[in-house]
Amino acid sequence: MKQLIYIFLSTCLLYSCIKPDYEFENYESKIVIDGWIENGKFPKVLLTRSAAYFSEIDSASIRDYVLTTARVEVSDGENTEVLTLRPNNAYFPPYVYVATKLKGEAGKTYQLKVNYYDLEATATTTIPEPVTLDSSWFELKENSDSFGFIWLKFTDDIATKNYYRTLTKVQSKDDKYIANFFPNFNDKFFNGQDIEIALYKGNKSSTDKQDELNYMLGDTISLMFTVIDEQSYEFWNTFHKEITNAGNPFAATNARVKSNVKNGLGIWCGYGSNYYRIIAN
Amino acid sequence: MKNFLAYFVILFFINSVNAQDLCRVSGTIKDAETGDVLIGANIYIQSLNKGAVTNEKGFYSIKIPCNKYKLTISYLGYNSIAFNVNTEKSLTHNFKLEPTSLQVQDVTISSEKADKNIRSTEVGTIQLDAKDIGKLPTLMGEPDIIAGLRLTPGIQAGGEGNSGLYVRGGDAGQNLILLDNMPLYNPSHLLGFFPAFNADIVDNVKVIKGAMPAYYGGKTSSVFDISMKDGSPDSFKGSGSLGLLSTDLTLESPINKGKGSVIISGRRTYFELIKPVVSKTIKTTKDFFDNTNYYFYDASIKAQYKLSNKDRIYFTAFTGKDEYKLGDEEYKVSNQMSWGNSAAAFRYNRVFSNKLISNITTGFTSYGFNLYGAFDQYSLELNSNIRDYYTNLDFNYLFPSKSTLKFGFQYSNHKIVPNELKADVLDINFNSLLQYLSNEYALYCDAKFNLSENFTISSGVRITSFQHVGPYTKYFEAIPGQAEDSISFNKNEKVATYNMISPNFSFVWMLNNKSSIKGSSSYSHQAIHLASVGSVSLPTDMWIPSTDFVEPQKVGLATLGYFRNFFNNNFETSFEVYYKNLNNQIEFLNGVLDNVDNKKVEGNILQGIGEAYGAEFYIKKQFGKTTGWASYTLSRTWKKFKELGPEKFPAKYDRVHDFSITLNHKLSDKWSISAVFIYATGNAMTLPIGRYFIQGNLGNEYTDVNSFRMPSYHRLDISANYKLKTKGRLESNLNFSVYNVYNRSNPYFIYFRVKGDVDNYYLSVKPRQISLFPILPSITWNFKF
Repeated sequence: MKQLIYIFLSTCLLYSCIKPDYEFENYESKIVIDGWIENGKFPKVLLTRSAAYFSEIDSASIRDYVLTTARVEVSDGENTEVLTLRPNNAYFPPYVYVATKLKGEAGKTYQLKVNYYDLEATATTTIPEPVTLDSSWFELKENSDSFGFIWLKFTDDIATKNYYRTLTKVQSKDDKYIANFFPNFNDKFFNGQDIEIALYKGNKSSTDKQDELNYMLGDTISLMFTVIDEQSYEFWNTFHKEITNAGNPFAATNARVKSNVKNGLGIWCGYGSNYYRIIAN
Repeated sequence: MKNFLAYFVILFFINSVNAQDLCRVSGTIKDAETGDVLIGANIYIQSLNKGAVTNEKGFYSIKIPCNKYKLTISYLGYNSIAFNVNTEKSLTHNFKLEPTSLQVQDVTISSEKADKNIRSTEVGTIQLDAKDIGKLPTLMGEPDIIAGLRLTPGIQAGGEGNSGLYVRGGDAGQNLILLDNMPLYNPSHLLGFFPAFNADIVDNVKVIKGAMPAYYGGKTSSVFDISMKDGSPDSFKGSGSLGLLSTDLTLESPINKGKGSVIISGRRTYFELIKPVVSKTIKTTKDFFDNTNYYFYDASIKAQYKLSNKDRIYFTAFTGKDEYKLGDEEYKVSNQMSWGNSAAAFRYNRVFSNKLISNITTGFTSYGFNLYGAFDQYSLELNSNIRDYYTNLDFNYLFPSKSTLKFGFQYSNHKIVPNELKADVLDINFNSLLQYLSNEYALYCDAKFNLSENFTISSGVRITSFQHVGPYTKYFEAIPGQAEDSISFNKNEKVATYNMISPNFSFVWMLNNKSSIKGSSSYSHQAIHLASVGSVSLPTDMWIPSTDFVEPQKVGLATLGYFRNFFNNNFETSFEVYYKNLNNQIEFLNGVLDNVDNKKVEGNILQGIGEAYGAEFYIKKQFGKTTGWASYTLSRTWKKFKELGPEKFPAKYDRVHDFSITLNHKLSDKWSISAVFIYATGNAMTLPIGRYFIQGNLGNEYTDVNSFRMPSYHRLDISANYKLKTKGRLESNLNFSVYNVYNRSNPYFIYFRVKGDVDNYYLSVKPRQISLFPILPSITWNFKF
């Protein structure tokens, strides 16, 4: 998707490039939270700092942006746990704050509090009731003998406004769950209906353009089908638009990422999830 | 460069003090049919830019330096005549004028009084006629009317590569552009660089930036009323130009011994022809030129025929198209963009009496663009178009007291396809086609009263009913507990109706014969909106009608101005202030590609409020060897959209300062030179200030909306005209011009280049500014026969 930007950029006829001096001095770095809690699982939180826009990031400076000495606390209103830092190379940054006692439960609300020196960022999220799929399967796409997508079939609850997010992990290819290409959707246009949805595989990161967007025949795919709350949906939806449109002068840039983090950036997301295994055959 | 400017400034003042022997020309002007004297008829000498008006006995008298002149005699409702006179001594000349079947809209008289600016009862109106247009500095050999208007106060350009005009804080889509009364939705050629209209066919341009008369409707910011020339009624004529990049030709001919006439004109660029030459001489451009192509053409025709003394018919048509192609085999990029306007109208004009004249007009207008882009295995095709059919019925009534009443009815049927999208992204196909139909009915009435010799008021009202009709499917956001989510409307079934009343009022108070005070106020509505999809203005901006989700824009306006002439009307000055209250303004929330979350394009539209205010200063020197004008506008435009935050923010085209100076100097009978300098505050934009990672993806943190300013826009253009020897009927001249003399890199847009990726622990982001037009010299041969 990002590549479309370059199509637009090249529509200039007689252009000449110069590098202007735009520097924003005194940029105040903020705490960036990338955290989630699932029903039946321990919460995970990745912490970084935001960087000034034009600062160059390389393998040496990148460590400056990883917060490894913060105090991270999760509470469900009754129980509170301070999370501990563990290395985990599947993620970026490769350090994850994890809990050992407090597990997520559907229907409950969780507070997150991060302290780093004199900065304090907080966020609240809810784990909605998970939705069960009627079925899920793999289908080859037209004119292809090896590539395809996965299909889900489920019934939307007519009584509630539902927000969904999907992630998948291909066995022996991915080391973590990766959000699909269009991972976020809601029942705005299918409330209370039986719905079938096809999923494209997602990119590992926005800077990675080599990824294939289809699943392959023979893949064993783990699907994480989740229900999230409205604030989490707003974040993921606007964040998805941001990474698709950012920097494209021909795309409107009025959309802003709507974070649920107070005094910081990012997302603290409750997942009401169910897991499915799909074998592509 | 400073010296050059100083030279101009000195000339400006020195040349107004030359004195010569004066001769008097006087006489009477009468109606050729009745023999009645004509009061207020105009005698005008173009070369001197001087004129006189007949008194209550039809008598005129004018003092001019003794020489040979061409006099133009004109009067509202009569055919103008031209007369050559040799005033070696004082002379008497009497004239008789033939009545013409008057076109209601042509209340403008092409030869103006020198003190028109203070007397004119059209408040907030700027008028350029053929002679003014001919005086504009020419670029690439062609005078550009729109660029000329941009040099007057209150009218601002969008910046580099932006063809839109922004009038007193209004958006580009809020201007009503009429070419001989045919509305045009987006007349522009390549990024505003080439003139949108061929100056050879333009007789007169009127811009209304104050309260608009009710006759004009449907837009909230301004009117650009461009009249096309009538063809020559007595002989075959032609004119044209031959330039490095384009050529144009205009031909005029009488029909049936002057009973009618026709004028036909065409323009075409020929970048294709010079391409091989340029790519051979400048090696580095070879790759670029091999895969790039651009052309535009436009053509127009106007024919008129007199059926009887009281009946006349007119036919007008215009078509224009731009096509642009870019490819790069190495990067597997190919792009194509084309856009164009087409319009045609038929008009029947009937003079019922000296007092009542009517017109019935029917026609169509359309605008469309097509964009195709492909990069590797990605492709995208975007179409957008708008088409109107319309019929207007107008009446114009003249009271003996010279008060006027104008009333009528207008109907338009609009068909709009905002964005037809076909995209193929790594084999994922997007497809969407949405079509909107609407009917717009309007009744209007304008009256102008001369309350006394020195006080005139004009007032009017326009009543509009805008109806969005089916076929259409209306989607609802799901309400918990309710499964139904859409309603279908049949053909012509009303989906939404908006009834709007738009009043206007203005006054002119002549303090004495040197100064006047003018004021106006209005409340106007606009039901068809132009939504800008990006941070730059492109032909791809889409038109969107009012629907049940998108309400018509409403704008309240108040203006007040003081006009004063000095030194026998040689210097015109004015000072005006305005305030606008903007409601239901339009912004696009997401990009064109985002239709995942919304079934209708209007789901991406935000509506908000705003205000605009400013002060405009203007000075013009009218006569002498050196003429010119300077204008300065100090203004602010604010917008507020609740979805974008609680605070008001500057509009993208908020121009705090806007200054321009235009100078013309006649060096000799053969040589004349001119220069234009423009300075404008840079566009406001939102910039990223920080970035962060979420699940391996890079997100940006932004400044407050439009809190960053692009570098300011400034530019100097110069041009020189050399008149060649006249051979028989052929008159011609050579034009040399230099655009952007000091090669200023004005920003078109700024973007950010991201290199590297997270997995390799390297990432670099650099800002890049794209500028379009460097210093561009050109030479053009203009001819007339």
